[in-house]
Amino acid sequence: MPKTDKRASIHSAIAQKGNTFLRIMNFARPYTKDLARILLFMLIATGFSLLVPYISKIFIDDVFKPDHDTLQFSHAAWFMPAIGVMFFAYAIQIFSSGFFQWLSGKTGHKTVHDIRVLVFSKLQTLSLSYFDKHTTGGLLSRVNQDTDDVQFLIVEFLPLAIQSFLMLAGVGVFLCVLSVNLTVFVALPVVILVFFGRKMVKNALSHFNTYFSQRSRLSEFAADSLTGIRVVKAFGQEHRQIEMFRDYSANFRDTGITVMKMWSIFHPLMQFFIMSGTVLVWAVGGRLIFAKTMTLGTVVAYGGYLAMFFSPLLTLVNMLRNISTSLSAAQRVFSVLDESPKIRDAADAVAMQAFAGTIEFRNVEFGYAFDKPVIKNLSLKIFPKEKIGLIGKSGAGKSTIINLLCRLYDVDKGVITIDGVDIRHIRTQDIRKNIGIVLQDTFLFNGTIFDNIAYAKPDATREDVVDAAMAAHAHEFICKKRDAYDSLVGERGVALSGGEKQRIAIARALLLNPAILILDEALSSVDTETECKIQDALENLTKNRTTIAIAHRLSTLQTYDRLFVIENGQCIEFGTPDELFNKKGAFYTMVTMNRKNTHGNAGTFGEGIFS
Amino acid sequence: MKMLNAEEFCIQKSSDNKLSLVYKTGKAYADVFFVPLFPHSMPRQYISIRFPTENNGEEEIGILHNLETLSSFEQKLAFETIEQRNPLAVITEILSIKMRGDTDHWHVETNKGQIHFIGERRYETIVLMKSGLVLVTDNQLNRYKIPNYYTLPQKQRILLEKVLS
Repeated sequence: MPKTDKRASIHSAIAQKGNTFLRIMNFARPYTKDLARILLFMLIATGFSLLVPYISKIFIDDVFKPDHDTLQFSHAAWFMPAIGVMFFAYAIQIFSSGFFQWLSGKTGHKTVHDIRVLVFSKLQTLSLSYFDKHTTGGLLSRVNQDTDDVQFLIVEFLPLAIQSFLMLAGVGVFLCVLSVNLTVFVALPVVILVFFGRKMVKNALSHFNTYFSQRSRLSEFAADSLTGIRVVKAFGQEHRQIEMFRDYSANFRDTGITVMKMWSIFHPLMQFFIMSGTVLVWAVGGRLIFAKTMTLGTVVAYGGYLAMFFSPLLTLVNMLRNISTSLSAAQRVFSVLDESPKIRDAADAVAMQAFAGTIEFRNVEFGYAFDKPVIKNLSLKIFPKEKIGLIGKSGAGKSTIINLLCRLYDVDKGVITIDGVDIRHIRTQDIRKNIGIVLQDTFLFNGTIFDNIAYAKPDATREDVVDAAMAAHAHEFICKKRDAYDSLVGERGVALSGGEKQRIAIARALLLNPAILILDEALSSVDTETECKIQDALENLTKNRTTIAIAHRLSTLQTYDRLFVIENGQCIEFGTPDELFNKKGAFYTMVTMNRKNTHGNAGTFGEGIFS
Repeated sequence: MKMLNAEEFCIQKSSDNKLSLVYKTGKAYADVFFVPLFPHSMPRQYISIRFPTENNGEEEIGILHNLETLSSFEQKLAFETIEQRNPLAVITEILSIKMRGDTDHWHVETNKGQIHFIGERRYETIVLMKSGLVLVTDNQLNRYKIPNYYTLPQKQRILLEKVLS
């Protein structure tokens, strides 16, 4: 990159970080009263800390200095009051500092809590397409690690920065009051420090950015690997994961070493300039004492103030690394907050409390990537309480049809209607409330069996849940668990078989009592014996509601009213199972293939299509 | 859901210490047992009354909405069978928890007196439920419960936090 471009990009990064900082500060707005209190206590602490070196000057120049002629301590009476003032100055400074640190910590934690909840809430509202493009590890990192990093900015950096600036301003005034001449000399290393510091800071920032991006990638990779640990183990890919982690970590290590190298040059240089200032005070101040134009007390006090001047500067520089992390983290947090959900209710969205269950796809086209259509000019109509099967090869577009119907994605072309209303004009909450889904892999949250069944209907009564479990043929196995409906399931809970999980999912769907039911390969992960038990439960579930089932096992669709054969995102055949079989088209081929696989002969229609 | 009306039946204890449910109509079920459907969140309500069937099976006679609708004697019988089937000591005070290797050595005060037990350090050994209930299982598979994590005294909560990861 040319030098000017690089400089421009660093400037732009800094400007961006400045904006980010201001945006973070906006989050502290609800706590302005607390912020005002923090500022007040900071002023008190800084003000009283400035008194101490001046009292030292009084001690040296007045209290402990004998009178030139009488050799008596003419200001001895000031001794105890000065001690008292020094004691109170220290005490007030220490307690005020403690108080503002507590207040700023409290405010910071409140602000970060707000941000964390906002990020999580935002993620909940984003469309599935957003999650398709981001890793789970990365998103976990946004919610946990990045918000924690932002916390540093608000809880630690901000109060310290304000206090440091107050201190710098206050000390600057005292330095000038004590000696303008000395201040001019001391200003020299400060100017050099600021000049070199700025250059180095800009340079360091670009390295810090790389460092923290790599850290983020490393933790995203680790989170992803651990989330998918079962898959890793199932495919024996532990070694590959370790190698990949080693590569990520090695990059992170190398950048870390570069950053440390820069830091180990930068930090001693800063300290060198600070030390030069102190030496200058004594060098110049000493000459002034010899020339009797300055008192010893003034030089001692000056030295004290100078230490107070450089100390916040050094603290701020030391914080540079963390500030950069926090600002980068904040930028990532804002990238989530700035995302707008692709699926949102239209302004004229209608409330539809209960669906009758008529579904129509008219010339629908859709692709997850704009140049790769998955659904092509699909048209189909499903009538209320009809039981429909979607069949076809893997990747034909069956699950996409379901995703579109649930409005997890919006169509690219065409329209999907429910009861004659375009689903883009129906409130999303009504769609979710009226469509129940039983998936192939039932996800159970950490919680009790009761919590999991009642998940879609939190206001369900105990009777409702037990009734749903009974209808799903889950009640009997639940009663055999030691804690029955209070049994914990999920990661920390009791192990449930695939069939048991599936019956809990059916109970969950039954409890919702949806007008439209979707069974997405609901029986493909269970054995034939369990399938029989679940079939019974499904009979109860599909009664009196529009049902759409996706199934590879054709036998599960034998009682369905109509079947749609999907191929390459299009419906190539539809009709009753008998009609389709007699047509001797794609469906016929699938059935005969299915039979060959299970019985070794093609059989005849008279034996029953699915037998 | 078949709800049972306590006024329509009685629970009896036979000489061999088994319980039977006898309807006023004369219909009877032998060897009945009680299964609280929500043993931690609603221990006295929604009690499934069941009897054994062939091949180690069991069948539900019905569900009693509230155990307190039974007579005090019947309630006592019900509690005894529930306790026998699913014993659960209530920890009233955590005296100490010492971590040794992969195990935790607990010394606790319970409703049954002071107990020492050893639990393996696995995440399913100690479970904190949403309501604050903590269930602890020792390496003999005995279970203990701490009714509410959130109301534990600070000192005991710190002890528990050490092993509640």
